[in-house]
Order: sequence, then structure tokens, then C-alpha cells
Amino acid sequence: MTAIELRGVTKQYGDVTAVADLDLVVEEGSIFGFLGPNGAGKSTVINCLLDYIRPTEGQISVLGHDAQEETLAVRERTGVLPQGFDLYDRLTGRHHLEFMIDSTGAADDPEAIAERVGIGDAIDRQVGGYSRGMTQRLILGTALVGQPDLLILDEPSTGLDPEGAHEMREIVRAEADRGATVFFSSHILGQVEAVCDEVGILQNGSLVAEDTVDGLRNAIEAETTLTAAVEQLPDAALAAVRALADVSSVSATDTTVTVQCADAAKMTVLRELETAGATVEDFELTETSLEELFLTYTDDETDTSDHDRPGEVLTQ
Amino acid sequence: MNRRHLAVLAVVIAVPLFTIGLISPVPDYGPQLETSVYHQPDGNLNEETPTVAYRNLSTDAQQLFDKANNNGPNSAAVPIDDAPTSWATLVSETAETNERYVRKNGKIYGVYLTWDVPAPSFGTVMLRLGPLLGAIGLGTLAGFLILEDSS
Amino acid sequence: MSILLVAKKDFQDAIRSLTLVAVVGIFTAFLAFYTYYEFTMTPLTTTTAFDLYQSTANAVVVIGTLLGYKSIAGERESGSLKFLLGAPHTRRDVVLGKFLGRVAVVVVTVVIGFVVVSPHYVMLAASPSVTAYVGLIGRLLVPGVVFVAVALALSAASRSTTVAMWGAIVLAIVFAFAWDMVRNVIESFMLPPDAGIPNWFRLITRFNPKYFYLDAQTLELGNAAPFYLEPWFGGVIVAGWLLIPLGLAYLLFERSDLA
Repeated sequence: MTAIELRGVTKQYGDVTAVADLDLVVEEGSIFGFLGPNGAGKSTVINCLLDYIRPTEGQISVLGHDAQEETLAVRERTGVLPQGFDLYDRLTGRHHLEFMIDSTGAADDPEAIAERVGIGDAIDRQVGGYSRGMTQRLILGTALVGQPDLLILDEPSTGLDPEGAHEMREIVRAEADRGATVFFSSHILGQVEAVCDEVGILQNGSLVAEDTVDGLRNAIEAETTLTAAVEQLPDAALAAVRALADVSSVSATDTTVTVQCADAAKMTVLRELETAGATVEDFELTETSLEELFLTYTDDETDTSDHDRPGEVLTQ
Repeated sequence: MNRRHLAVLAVVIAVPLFTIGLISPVPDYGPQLETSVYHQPDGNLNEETPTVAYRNLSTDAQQLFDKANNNGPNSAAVPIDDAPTSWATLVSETAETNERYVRKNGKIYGVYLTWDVPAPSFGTVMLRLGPLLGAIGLGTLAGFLILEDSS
Repeated sequence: MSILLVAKKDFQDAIRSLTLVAVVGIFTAFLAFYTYYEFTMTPLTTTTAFDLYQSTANAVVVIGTLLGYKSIAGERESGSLKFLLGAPHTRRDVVLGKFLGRVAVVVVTVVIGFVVVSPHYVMLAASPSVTAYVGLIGRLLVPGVVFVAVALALSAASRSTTVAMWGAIVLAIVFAFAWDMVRNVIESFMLPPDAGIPNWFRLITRFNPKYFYLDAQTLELGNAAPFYLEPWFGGVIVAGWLLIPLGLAYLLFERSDLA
């Protein structure tokens, strides 16, 4: 059974394409990590799943229901932690939990849920006085109401301290053990890596990789990062290297080319660079880490960001 | 003293204040007949204005005429209900003024009858409205305090 | 059920607003002053509770507009709509639930004002009548509810509270104030002076939700009145004012992207 299935989903805002012809399948019972830098279109996809927005083209099915036609059936079985949400400042945490409990017809106890997400002592305070982290915990609590079959969490660790992020991952695991599917978006690899079974990486509205976390690791072990210092770099050289069979990504600054390729292909790459007129002065080989892999996937092809400090880009 | 106590205090003050407003007298907005009398020089008379002789006036009207004539500002006001009927019926809320001549001792006097509703003094009005509005204000304040307290 | 849950939550939220407390206070003070003014300043005319209608209706129109214009656009702007729709409710539930919640707030606001001022009315009126007083509240709630619907419709149809706010301000000014001025100008200068007021002009007057009750009976026209001046037609006008804006707004809201 599939929990989420997207077929050819495109979302355009005027001339801007936020999501382009996206196909995605999430199996029931898995924890799916939806990765990508800010602005890649993750939230657009999630907003489409929840029918907050309507795709320009394509079919979306959530828990076997059409996301646009059978919204209520989807919402009845889905717990949601959206991005850019707000709560009712004048109402208490209890009001919010009770509203969700009444709405879903669940038999949950507001205090037990508040306790579980770590705001038990603040349940009768008005949400206007909550910190960002507490609000995030509260809405996670409302998402858990009624033991949903699917949890959609959009950047759930926003505003949480490391301990809070850890607790959140524990809850995600517990929910998955109960049998729920978790669809979890983040721009931080570490959070997804620690908890997810499967990962999809979104870049500029397209899925650039979809695999299990282990599968990604295996792919990395066979990969090498080749960093070459060159005297000059004709555009043709980059194109030529990119066209090679075993090269997964290429990025460049003025005089440095970084190539991700199969270990066996490294000499071919160097030769190709020379042939295309880029005189290689020096080169270095390193094994790719998962972090770097994520970066290479999510970097724009013409991006010139500094690869020596990948963490900076990811955590900004 | 926390906000809840302050709110209770505001209500405790507001309730008797409201009662004071309710039981304080309603200022009198009774309409009056204002009568102004001016000596009219001969040869300056409007032919269309009716003229009556002083002796043909009712006793009430004679008294009012004399009172106004002898008054400093040449006018006198009486509540419409106490005014001479013959004169009171000449004016109303819609027809506010009436002009006539009265001949007394060979002199012609112009008499102007005016319908007037004098506003009571600000003090009298505020004696009633003030406590009422004050009590409503205090009630609103209590509402604010209770809301602030729960946040 | 869904609609009532949304309405309840909306009411709980709105009733805790400091602005609402201020609105209730100002309305009550206005009503106390206006009751005093109407009942004392015209001593020879018999003043009844219904003489309080005209200006109070304008105040209620403003209150209804104030309560409605932010109701949906505000939640869309802040993002709390995502929480609301994260629960199993449809967009239709949200529009109707919000409407019911805000109507409850208008009722509470108006009723508090009238209850507080009621002893004041009893002391001032020559012959205080519970029926007339309650009837006045009932009649006033009609434009209040209509303008909640109209402002809420604007709120559902627009992306930003600014657009909704200006739309609501224009509507409130037109129907609470400008309508009467234009009507008076037409009546005084453009209608033949001796012929009396034609029925079509009465109908146009009645299209203002404030004057829905101006039927053949209240105008004492006898039996010769056309159907559109019958009492029941007031119900048609009010229903139109509720259904058309809410319906159109719902269609727009249903089709739009909310994030």
C-alpha cells in the first residue's frame, strides 16, 4: 500500500514553477525524509498534499484518497504540522488540543498529549505567551491527536533546541512503531538521516534523488569527490565532464572544479578536462560524505559556494 | 493586589455609581414660551402683523407682557404649560416664532413669541450621565483586567 | 457538527479580545448617551424604544463590519488557517463556522449594551415596554448579522486584511451613512414634490439592510402596496444579503490557494 503518491505534479505561480512534474511514492509504514534546501518546493508539495493549495497539473493520492477531491477523508486520518502556521494567541494549549480532539472525535486526554510533547505544565496558559519551541511542541501534540495513520511534518524542528529536536525524533519513531507513516521535511540532513527509512531530495521543484538512507550510503561508498585546481576553465570543459557516464555532479568556481564521480572514472574526468582546454595544475581525491552528497544534489549547477564548509549552507 | 482584585474593585465601585446615575433627577427639558417685548416707533409698522389691544389680552397674557416689558433683557420665559393658552397655541416645535403688536396706553409694542427648549446646565446633565458613563467605563476596565489576568 | 466546532472555537477566541471589550464598552456608553438624548430632548413627542433604531443601527453596522473583515483574511495571513484546516474540516465548514461564531459575538455585544442600559431606559421612558425593547434588539441584529456576512465574505475573498479592511470600510460608509444622504437628496430634489414617494423609491430604500423592515405595514400604506413592500419581502432582501456575498466568497475561497 502507498501512503502518498504523486503523479506528474506541477505547481506554477504565474511564470514561476515551484514544483515541476514531480513523481513521488511513499510506502505505508515508512518514515520518509523529504530533503531539500529552503525554497526547493518542499512546502509547496506538502501544501498540495493537504489541499491548502491546488496543483496546476497532476494527481495526488493520500492514504488512497484524492487529495483535492476527498480532502476531508485525508484530514481525518492525517496529523499535520505545517510550516508558517500560527495558533490562536488568546486561547490556551488545552483549548487547541480540545479543539483537535473534538474535531477528530478522538478519545484522547489533552493533558496526556501535552505531557508527551513536553508542555504539560503550560497547558492552561495562553498560547500568546508560548515560545516558538513551545508552539512547535503544541502543534506536534495536536498532530498526534486521534492516532493518525499519516503524520505530515513540515520542518518540525524549527524553533526547537537540540534536546527538543531529539525528543521530536523519539516521538516520530514511536509513531512509526505504532504503524503510522511519517512524511518529514527538512533542510537539515542530520535530522532526516537519524530517523528516516527513506529519503527524497528535492531541488528546484524536481526530485533529484530518492533512495533508502542505506542505499544512499552505498552509493556514496563507490563515489569519489575529485577537486581539481585549473588554470582556466572554458565552459565547454564543464559541459564535457558533465556529459560523462559515471559523473553524478559537477560544480565549479573560477579555478576549481569539484566533480562527484564513480571511483573508477576519476582518470577519465581528468583527461576530459585537459582535452577541453582546462589545464589541471593540482587535484585532490576525497570520499564523499552523506552531507556532501546532499550538498551536491541540492547545489545549483552554476553554484559557486564553498564546498570546504558544507555545514554552513545546510544550517543557515 | 493583582489584576483580579482590581477588577473586583472596579465592579464594586461601578455598581453603586450606576445606581447613583439612575436615581439622580432627569434634568428638565421642558419647552418654554419666551416672550420679548419692544417698543415699536410709529410709522414703522408692518401692516400684515395683527394688532391687539392690551385690555383685550387675558390676565395671564397681560402679566407676561408686563413682566417681559419691565425685565432688563426685555423678555421673559415661562414653561409652555403655564403660559397663557392664547399665546402658547401660536407657537410649536415646528412654528417657532410668532409676531404681533400690542397697543397699550396709545403706544405700540412688538411682541415676539418664541418656542424654546433651553438646555439644562452641564452640571445637571453630568449629574445623571456622568455616573452612568463612569460606571460603564469601570465595567469595561474590569473586562480588560480580567482578560489581562488570564494571559 | 464541524461548523459548530469551528464556530465555538472562533467565539472562544474572539470573546477574549481586548478590542472586543473596548467595542462593547464604547457601544454601551454610546447607547446610554443616545437613550438619554432621545428620551429627554424631545419632550412633547412620545419617544418609544424604536426611536433609538436609526443611529444605533449605524453603530451595529460598524460593529458587524469590524468583527467580520479580519475573520478569514487575518487567519490566512498569520497561518492559523493551516491549523484550522489541519483538522478534519472543509473550507465550507470554516466559512460557515466563522460566520456563526462572529454572529454570536455581535449578538453578545449588542445584548450586553442593551441589558446594561435597560434600567436607564425604564427610568426615562414614559411607558417602558419590554416587547418594544426586545423588538428593537431583534431588529437591530438584522443589519448587524448582514454586515458580519458581507465583511466576512470580503475577508474570505481577499488575500490580505488590508484589502478586506478597505472593502469593509467602503461598504459600511455606503450603507450606514452615504445611502441616507443620497436618498435624502433624491427625495428632496429629484422626485416630483407633490406626487408623494413612489413605491419603487421605497423599494430602493428597503434594499439597504438597515431598512429591511420598511414594509407596507410600518409605512401605513394600506392594502394597495405592491408585493415588494409586503413584510415577507424583507426576509427575501435579508436572505439575499446573506446568501449572495457568502456564496460568492465561498466559491472564491474554495478555489484559491491558501498558503
